[in-house]
Amino acid sequence: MNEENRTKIPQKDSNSRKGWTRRSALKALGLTALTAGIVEPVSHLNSTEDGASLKDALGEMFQDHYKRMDKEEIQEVLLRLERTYAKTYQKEIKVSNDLPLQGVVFGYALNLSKCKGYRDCVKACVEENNQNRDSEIEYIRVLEMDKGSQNMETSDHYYDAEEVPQEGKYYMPVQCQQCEDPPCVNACPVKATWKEPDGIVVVDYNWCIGCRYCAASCPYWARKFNWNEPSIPKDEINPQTHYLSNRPRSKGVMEKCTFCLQRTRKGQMPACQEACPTGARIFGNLLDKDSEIRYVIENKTVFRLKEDLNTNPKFWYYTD
Amino acid sequence: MKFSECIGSIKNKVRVWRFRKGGWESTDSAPKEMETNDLKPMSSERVKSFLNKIKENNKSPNEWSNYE
Repeated sequence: MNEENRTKIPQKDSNSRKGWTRRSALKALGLTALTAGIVEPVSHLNSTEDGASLKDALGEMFQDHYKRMDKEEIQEVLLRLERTYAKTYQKEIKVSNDLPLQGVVFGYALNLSKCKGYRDCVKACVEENNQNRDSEIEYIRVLEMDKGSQNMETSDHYYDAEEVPQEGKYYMPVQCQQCEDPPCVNACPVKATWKEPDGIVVVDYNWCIGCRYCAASCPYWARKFNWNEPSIPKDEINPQTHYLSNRPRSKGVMEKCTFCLQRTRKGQMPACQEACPTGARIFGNLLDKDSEIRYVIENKTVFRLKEDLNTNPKFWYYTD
Repeated sequence: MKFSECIGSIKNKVRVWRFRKGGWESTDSAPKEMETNDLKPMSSERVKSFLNKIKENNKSPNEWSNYE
Protein backbone atom coordinates (compact mmCIF):
# COMPACT_ATOMS: atom_id res chain seq x y z
CA MET A 1 0.00 0.00 0.00
CA ASN A 2 1.45 3.36 -0.97
CA GLU A 3 1.45 6.45 1.20
CA GLU A 4 -1.42 8.16 -0.71
CA ASN A 5 -3.87 5.35 -0.14
CA ARG A 6 -3.01 5.00 3.49
CA THR A 7 -4.04 8.61 4.25
CA LYS A 8 -7.55 7.95 2.96
CA ILE A 9 -8.29 5.41 5.66
CA PRO A 10 -10.05 7.10 8.60
CA GLN A 11 -7.80 7.22 11.59
CA LYS A 12 -9.03 6.60 15.10
CA ASP A 13 -9.05 9.88 16.96
CA SER A 14 -9.60 9.92 20.69
CA ASN A 15 -10.86 13.56 20.64
CA SER A 16 -13.53 13.17 17.99
CA ARG A 17 -16.00 10.49 16.91
CA LYS A 18 -15.92 11.20 13.22
CA GLY A 19 -15.55 8.25 10.91
CA TRP A 20 -16.68 4.66 11.37
CA THR A 21 -16.35 3.35 14.87
CA ARG A 22 -17.64 -0.05 15.88
CA ARG A 23 -20.54 1.58 17.71
CA SER A 24 -21.67 3.76 14.81
CA ALA A 25 -21.44 0.83 12.44
CA LEU A 26 -23.63 -1.28 14.70
CA LYS A 27 -26.07 1.61 15.10
CA ALA A 28 -26.37 2.06 11.36
CA LEU A 29 -26.81 -1.64 10.90
CA GLY A 30 -29.52 -1.71 13.56
CA LEU A 31 -31.40 1.22 12.00
CA THR A 32 -31.25 -0.41 8.59
CA ALA A 33 -32.58 -3.66 10.01
CA LEU A 34 -35.35 -1.83 11.88
CA THR A 35 -36.42 0.07 8.79
CA ALA A 36 -36.38 -3.08 6.74
CA GLY A 37 -38.30 -4.88 9.48
CA ILE A 38 -41.05 -2.29 9.47
CA VAL A 39 -41.27 -1.45 5.83
CA GLU A 40 -40.73 -4.87 4.30
CA PRO A 41 -43.76 -6.64 5.84
CA VAL A 42 -46.06 -3.76 5.01
CA SER A 43 -44.56 -2.55 1.74
CA HIS A 44 -46.67 -4.95 -0.32
CA LEU A 45 -49.78 -3.47 1.22
CA ASN A 46 -49.04 -0.12 -0.31
CA SER A 47 -49.66 -1.31 -3.76
CA THR A 48 -51.96 -4.26 -4.16
CA GLU A 49 -54.10 -7.02 -2.81
CA ASP A 50 -55.87 -5.96 0.33
CA GLY A 51 -55.20 -2.40 -0.65
CA ALA A 52 -54.45 -0.97 2.78
CA SER A 53 -52.16 1.99 2.58
CA LEU A 54 -48.77 2.02 4.21
CA LYS A 55 -50.09 4.54 6.70
CA ASP A 56 -52.98 2.28 7.63
CA ALA A 57 -50.70 -0.71 7.98
CA LEU A 58 -48.35 1.21 10.25
CA GLY A 59 -51.33 2.53 12.19
CA GLU A 60 -52.48 -1.01 12.80
CA MET A 61 -49.04 -2.14 13.82
CA PHE A 62 -48.58 0.60 16.39
CA GLN A 63 -52.15 0.76 17.66
CA ASP A 64 -52.50 1.07 21.42
CA HIS A 65 -54.84 -0.85 23.71
CA TYR A 66 -58.47 0.20 23.35
CA LYS A 67 -58.72 1.43 26.91
CA ARG A 68 -55.58 3.50 26.71
CA MET A 69 -56.61 5.39 23.61
CA ASP A 70 -58.34 8.76 23.82
CA LYS A 71 -61.41 9.64 21.77
CA GLU A 72 -59.44 11.06 18.84
CA GLU A 73 -57.20 8.01 18.63
CA ILE A 74 -60.18 5.68 18.72
CA GLN A 75 -61.86 7.70 16.01
CA GLU A 76 -58.77 7.37 13.84
CA VAL A 77 -58.75 3.63 14.40
CA LEU A 78 -62.43 3.32 13.48
CA LEU A 79 -61.91 5.25 10.25
CA ARG A 80 -58.90 3.15 9.39
CA LEU A 81 -60.83 -0.06 9.97
CA GLU A 82 -63.71 1.19 7.84
CA ARG A 83 -61.29 1.94 4.99
CA THR A 84 -59.71 -1.50 5.30
CA TYR A 85 -63.01 -3.36 5.44
CA ALA A 86 -64.45 -1.36 2.55
CA LYS A 87 -61.54 -2.44 0.38
CA THR A 88 -61.69 -6.04 1.55
CA TYR A 89 -65.44 -6.55 1.26
CA GLN A 90 -66.27 -3.98 -1.45
CA LYS A 91 -68.97 -2.62 0.79
CA GLU A 92 -69.38 0.29 3.17
CA ILE A 93 -68.99 -1.08 6.68
CA LYS A 94 -69.68 1.08 9.70
CA VAL A 95 -67.55 0.46 12.79
CA SER A 96 -69.13 2.15 15.78
CA ASN A 97 -67.93 2.64 19.31
CA ASP A 98 -71.11 3.00 21.35
CA LEU A 99 -70.12 3.18 24.99
CA PRO A 100 -71.84 1.37 27.85
CA LEU A 101 -74.80 3.20 29.30
CA GLN A 102 -74.86 4.21 32.93
CA GLY A 103 -77.24 2.24 35.10
CA VAL A 104 -77.36 -0.67 32.67
CA VAL A 105 -76.15 -4.20 33.29
CA PHE A 106 -77.32 -6.74 30.78
CA GLY A 107 -78.68 -10.13 31.74
CA TYR A 108 -80.25 -13.06 29.97
CA ALA A 109 -82.77 -15.71 30.95
CA LEU A 110 -83.75 -18.75 28.94
CA ASN A 111 -86.90 -20.78 29.34
CA LEU A 112 -86.01 -24.44 28.86
CA SER A 113 -89.67 -25.38 28.56
CA LYS A 114 -89.98 -23.31 25.42
CA CYS A 115 -86.71 -24.14 23.70
CA LYS A 116 -87.33 -26.75 21.02
CA GLY A 117 -83.83 -27.04 19.65
CA TYR A 118 -84.52 -25.34 16.31
CA ARG A 119 -81.16 -23.55 16.34
CA ASP A 120 -82.60 -20.39 14.78
CA CYS A 121 -80.67 -18.46 17.42
CA VAL A 122 -77.41 -20.01 16.23
CA LYS A 123 -78.04 -19.07 12.61
CA ALA A 124 -79.03 -15.51 13.48
CA CYS A 125 -75.97 -15.14 15.67
CA VAL A 126 -73.60 -16.28 12.91
CA GLU A 127 -75.06 -13.80 10.45
CA GLU A 128 -75.31 -10.88 12.86
CA ASN A 129 -71.83 -11.28 14.25
CA ASN A 130 -69.96 -11.84 10.99
CA GLN A 131 -68.62 -15.18 12.08
CA ASN A 132 -66.29 -17.21 9.96
CA ARG A 133 -68.38 -19.48 7.75
CA ASP A 134 -65.56 -21.94 7.01
CA SER A 135 -64.53 -22.83 10.52
CA GLU A 136 -68.12 -23.06 11.70
CA ILE A 137 -67.47 -20.86 14.68
CA GLU A 138 -70.73 -20.60 16.55
CA TYR A 139 -71.14 -18.68 19.78
CA ILE A 140 -74.23 -20.66 20.79
CA ARG A 141 -74.19 -24.40 21.31
CA VAL A 142 -77.53 -26.08 21.69
CA LEU A 143 -77.19 -29.19 23.79
CA GLU A 144 -79.60 -32.05 23.38
CA MET A 145 -80.09 -33.84 26.66
CA ASP A 146 -82.20 -36.65 28.00
CA LYS A 147 -85.08 -35.50 30.14
CA GLY A 148 -84.30 -36.13 33.74
CA SER A 149 -80.58 -35.77 33.28
CA GLN A 150 -78.28 -32.86 33.44
CA ASN A 151 -74.92 -34.13 32.38
CA MET A 152 -73.29 -31.69 30.03
CA GLU A 153 -70.44 -34.04 29.35
CA THR A 154 -72.69 -36.62 27.75
CA SER A 155 -75.02 -34.17 26.04
CA ASP A 156 -75.14 -34.08 22.26
CA HIS A 157 -73.75 -30.88 20.74
CA TYR A 158 -74.14 -32.06 17.17
CA TYR A 159 -77.60 -33.56 17.11
CA ASP A 160 -78.83 -33.98 13.58
CA ALA A 161 -82.39 -35.23 13.84
CA GLU A 162 -84.78 -34.60 11.00
CA GLU A 163 -87.27 -33.15 13.41
CA VAL A 164 -86.92 -31.52 16.76
CA PRO A 165 -87.83 -31.77 19.53
CA GLN A 166 -87.14 -35.46 19.83
CA GLU A 167 -89.14 -37.58 22.18
CA GLY A 168 -87.60 -37.72 25.63
CA LYS A 169 -85.13 -34.93 24.95
CA TYR A 170 -84.84 -31.34 25.98
CA TYR A 171 -82.61 -28.62 24.63
CA MET A 172 -80.33 -26.24 26.41
CA PRO A 173 -78.54 -23.48 24.48
CA VAL A 174 -75.23 -22.48 26.03
CA GLN A 175 -73.31 -19.36 25.12
CA CYS A 176 -71.11 -16.84 26.91
CA GLN A 177 -72.60 -16.42 30.36
CA GLN A 178 -71.10 -12.91 30.76
CA CYS A 179 -69.83 -13.86 34.20
CA GLU A 180 -69.63 -11.19 36.85
CA ASP A 181 -66.33 -12.75 37.92
CA PRO A 182 -65.05 -14.00 34.57
CA PRO A 183 -62.13 -16.43 34.76
CA CYS A 184 -61.23 -15.70 31.14
CA VAL A 185 -60.41 -12.09 31.99
CA ASN A 186 -58.06 -13.13 34.76
CA ALA A 187 -56.36 -15.63 32.48
CA CYS A 188 -55.46 -13.15 29.74
CA PRO A 189 -51.76 -12.29 30.04
CA VAL A 190 -52.04 -9.06 28.02
CA LYS A 191 -55.37 -7.66 29.24
CA ALA A 192 -56.87 -8.00 25.79
CA THR A 193 -60.17 -8.98 27.35
CA TRP A 194 -62.12 -7.30 30.11
CA LYS A 195 -65.56 -6.78 31.55
CA GLU A 196 -67.30 -3.59 30.50
CA PRO A 197 -69.33 -1.57 33.02
CA ASP A 198 -72.53 -2.93 31.49
CA GLY A 199 -71.36 -6.44 32.36
CA ILE A 200 -70.32 -7.57 28.89
CA VAL A 201 -66.98 -9.33 28.53
CA VAL A 202 -65.28 -8.06 25.39
CA VAL A 203 -62.08 -8.64 23.44
CA ASP A 204 -59.83 -6.10 21.75
CA TYR A 205 -59.04 -8.14 18.64
CA ASN A 206 -56.10 -5.90 17.82
CA TRP A 207 -54.53 -6.53 21.21
CA CYS A 208 -55.19 -10.28 21.47
CA ILE A 209 -52.06 -12.38 20.98
CA GLY A 210 -53.97 -15.61 20.40
CA CYS A 211 -52.53 -17.57 23.32
CA ARG A 212 -55.95 -19.15 24.00
CA TYR A 213 -55.51 -19.11 27.77
CA CYS A 214 -58.99 -17.61 28.02
CA ALA A 215 -60.48 -20.53 26.11
CA ALA A 216 -58.80 -22.92 28.50
CA SER A 217 -60.14 -21.10 31.52
CA CYS A 218 -63.74 -20.73 30.34
CA PRO A 219 -65.97 -23.44 31.83
CA TYR A 220 -68.77 -22.74 29.33
CA TRP A 221 -66.90 -23.25 26.01
CA ALA A 222 -67.71 -19.68 25.14
CA ARG A 223 -64.40 -18.65 23.62
CA LYS A 224 -63.78 -19.32 19.93
CA PHE A 225 -60.46 -19.11 18.17
CA ASN A 226 -59.87 -18.13 14.56
CA TRP A 227 -57.55 -20.85 13.32
CA ASN A 228 -57.90 -19.59 9.76
CA GLU A 229 -58.36 -16.27 8.08
CA PRO A 230 -62.11 -15.78 8.52
CA SER A 231 -64.17 -16.08 5.41
CA ILE A 232 -67.43 -14.17 5.14
CA PRO A 233 -69.29 -13.94 1.83
CA LYS A 234 -69.34 -10.32 0.69
CA ASP A 235 -73.07 -10.26 0.23
CA GLU A 236 -73.70 -11.72 3.67
CA ILE A 237 -71.57 -9.42 5.74
CA ASN A 238 -73.38 -7.33 8.32
CA PRO A 239 -72.26 -3.74 7.76
CA GLN A 240 -73.38 -2.46 11.16
CA THR A 241 -70.50 -3.36 13.43
CA HIS A 242 -68.93 -2.38 16.73
CA TYR A 243 -65.22 -2.21 17.49
CA LEU A 244 -65.56 -4.58 20.45
CA SER A 245 -68.05 -6.90 18.91
CA ASN A 246 -68.91 -8.02 15.41
CA ARG A 247 -66.38 -6.26 13.21
CA PRO A 248 -64.49 -8.69 10.99
CA ARG A 249 -61.74 -10.47 12.88
CA SER A 250 -58.44 -11.79 11.66
CA LYS A 251 -56.66 -15.10 11.88
CA GLY A 252 -55.14 -15.91 15.26
CA VAL A 253 -57.47 -13.98 17.55
CA MET A 254 -60.08 -15.05 20.03
CA GLU A 255 -63.72 -14.06 19.81
CA LYS A 256 -66.91 -14.57 21.78
CA CYS A 257 -70.53 -13.62 22.27
CA THR A 258 -71.06 -10.06 23.44
CA PHE A 259 -74.85 -10.17 23.75
CA CYS A 260 -74.74 -8.31 20.40
CA LEU A 261 -73.57 -5.10 22.01
CA GLN A 262 -73.65 -3.40 18.61
CA ARG A 263 -77.42 -3.74 18.93
CA THR A 264 -78.09 -3.79 22.65
CA ARG A 265 -76.25 -0.56 23.38
CA LYS A 266 -78.65 1.07 20.94
CA GLY A 267 -81.67 -0.33 22.71
CA GLN A 268 -82.24 -3.28 20.40
CA MET A 269 -82.45 -6.93 21.39
CA PRO A 270 -79.69 -9.45 20.64
CA ALA A 271 -80.09 -11.31 17.34
CA CYS A 272 -80.63 -14.66 19.08
CA GLN A 273 -83.46 -13.21 21.14
CA GLU A 274 -85.18 -11.77 18.08
CA ALA A 275 -84.73 -14.94 16.07
CA CYS A 276 -86.14 -17.34 18.66
CA PRO A 277 -89.53 -18.47 17.31
CA THR A 278 -90.75 -19.80 20.64
CA GLY A 279 -90.03 -16.80 22.84
CA ALA A 280 -87.73 -18.78 25.08
CA ARG A 281 -85.25 -15.96 25.47
CA ILE A 282 -85.61 -13.01 27.81
CA PHE A 283 -83.06 -10.21 27.67
CA GLY A 284 -82.87 -6.95 29.53
CA ASN A 285 -81.37 -4.58 32.04
CA LEU A 286 -80.82 -6.20 35.42
CA LEU A 287 -80.78 -2.84 37.16
CA ASP A 288 -84.23 -1.93 35.88
CA LYS A 289 -86.72 -3.09 38.50
CA ASP A 290 -89.54 -3.15 35.98
CA SER A 291 -87.75 -5.18 33.34
CA GLU A 292 -88.89 -8.63 32.26
CA ILE A 293 -85.54 -10.14 33.14
CA ARG A 294 -85.85 -8.89 36.71
CA TYR A 295 -89.33 -10.36 36.95
CA VAL A 296 -88.07 -13.72 35.77
CA ILE A 297 -85.10 -14.01 38.07
CA GLU A 298 -87.03 -12.74 41.07
CA ASN A 299 -90.19 -14.74 40.57
CA LYS A 300 -89.24 -17.93 38.75
CA THR A 301 -87.15 -20.80 39.96
CA VAL A 302 -83.93 -20.01 38.18
CA PHE A 303 -80.54 -21.62 38.09
CA ARG A 304 -77.17 -20.90 36.61
CA LEU A 305 -74.65 -23.25 35.06
CA LYS A 306 -71.77 -24.44 37.18
CA GLU A 307 -72.80 -22.27 40.08
CA ASP A 308 -70.20 -23.94 42.27
CA LEU A 309 -67.38 -22.32 40.28
CA ASN A 310 -68.31 -18.86 41.60
CA THR A 311 -68.11 -17.29 38.18
CA ASN A 312 -71.46 -15.63 38.84
CA PRO A 313 -72.99 -15.83 35.37
CA LYS A 314 -75.54 -13.26 34.29
CA PHE A 315 -77.36 -15.95 32.35
CA TRP A 316 -80.18 -17.85 33.98
CA TYR A 317 -82.18 -20.89 33.00
CA TYR A 318 -85.70 -21.58 34.15
CA THR A 319 -88.78 -23.56 33.26
CA ASP A 320 -92.48 -22.72 33.25
CA MET B 1 -91.80 -29.24 31.13
CA LYS B 2 -91.56 -28.99 34.85
CA PHE B 3 -88.46 -27.95 36.68
CA SER B 4 -88.14 -31.38 38.24
CA GLU B 5 -88.18 -33.01 34.82
CA CYS B 6 -84.91 -31.52 33.78
CA ILE B 7 -83.31 -31.62 37.19
CA GLY B 8 -84.39 -35.16 37.85
CA SER B 9 -82.55 -36.82 40.62
CA ILE B 10 -79.32 -37.34 38.77
CA LYS B 11 -76.55 -35.15 39.98
CA ASN B 12 -73.98 -33.85 37.61
CA LYS B 13 -70.63 -35.21 38.53
CA VAL B 14 -67.44 -33.25 38.33
CA ARG B 15 -64.70 -35.13 36.58
CA VAL B 16 -61.59 -34.70 38.61
CA TRP B 17 -58.05 -35.81 38.14
CA ARG B 18 -56.52 -37.18 41.26
CA PHE B 19 -53.13 -38.51 42.08
CA ARG B 20 -52.95 -42.13 42.99
CA LYS B 21 -50.05 -44.45 43.40
CA GLY B 22 -48.72 -44.89 39.92
CA GLY B 23 -49.92 -41.62 38.41
CA TRP B 24 -52.85 -39.42 37.66
CA GLU B 25 -56.23 -40.94 37.01
CA SER B 26 -59.53 -39.56 35.88
CA THR B 27 -62.51 -40.26 38.03
CA ASP B 28 -65.57 -41.06 36.01
CA SER B 29 -67.53 -41.60 39.13
CA ALA B 30 -66.48 -38.83 41.40
CA PRO B 31 -66.39 -39.32 45.13
CA LYS B 32 -69.51 -38.26 46.93
CA GLU B 33 -68.11 -35.03 48.27
CA MET B 34 -67.23 -33.96 44.72
CA GLU B 35 -70.76 -34.35 43.47
CA THR B 36 -72.39 -31.17 42.44
CA ASN B 37 -75.68 -30.18 41.01
CA ASP B 38 -75.56 -27.64 38.24
CA LEU B 39 -79.22 -27.06 38.35
CA LYS B 40 -79.56 -26.11 41.97
CA PRO B 41 -82.08 -23.28 42.00
CA MET B 42 -80.92 -19.90 43.21
CA SER B 43 -82.51 -18.82 46.42
CA SER B 44 -84.22 -15.45 46.47
CA GLU B 45 -81.62 -14.20 48.96
CA ARG B 46 -78.86 -15.16 46.58
CA VAL B 47 -80.59 -13.43 43.68
CA LYS B 48 -80.98 -10.34 45.81
CA SER B 49 -77.36 -10.27 46.93
CA PHE B 50 -76.19 -10.83 43.37
CA LEU B 51 -78.27 -7.91 42.11
CA ASN B 52 -76.77 -5.73 44.83
CA LYS B 53 -73.32 -6.85 43.79
CA ILE B 54 -73.76 -5.95 40.13
CA LYS B 55 -75.29 -2.64 41.14
CA GLU B 56 -72.15 -1.82 43.13
CA ASN B 57 -69.85 -3.05 40.37
CA ASN B 58 -71.70 -0.89 37.88
CA LYS B 59 -71.08 2.18 40.03
CA SER B 60 -67.36 1.60 40.16
CA PRO B 61 -66.05 0.19 36.89
CA ASN B 62 -62.64 -1.41 37.08
CA GLU B 63 -59.28 0.18 36.44
CA TRP B 64 -58.14 1.63 33.10
CA SER B 65 -61.56 3.11 32.65
CA ASN B 66 -61.91 5.87 30.13
CA TYR B 67 -65.65 6.11 30.19
CA GLU B 68 -65.94 9.20 32.34
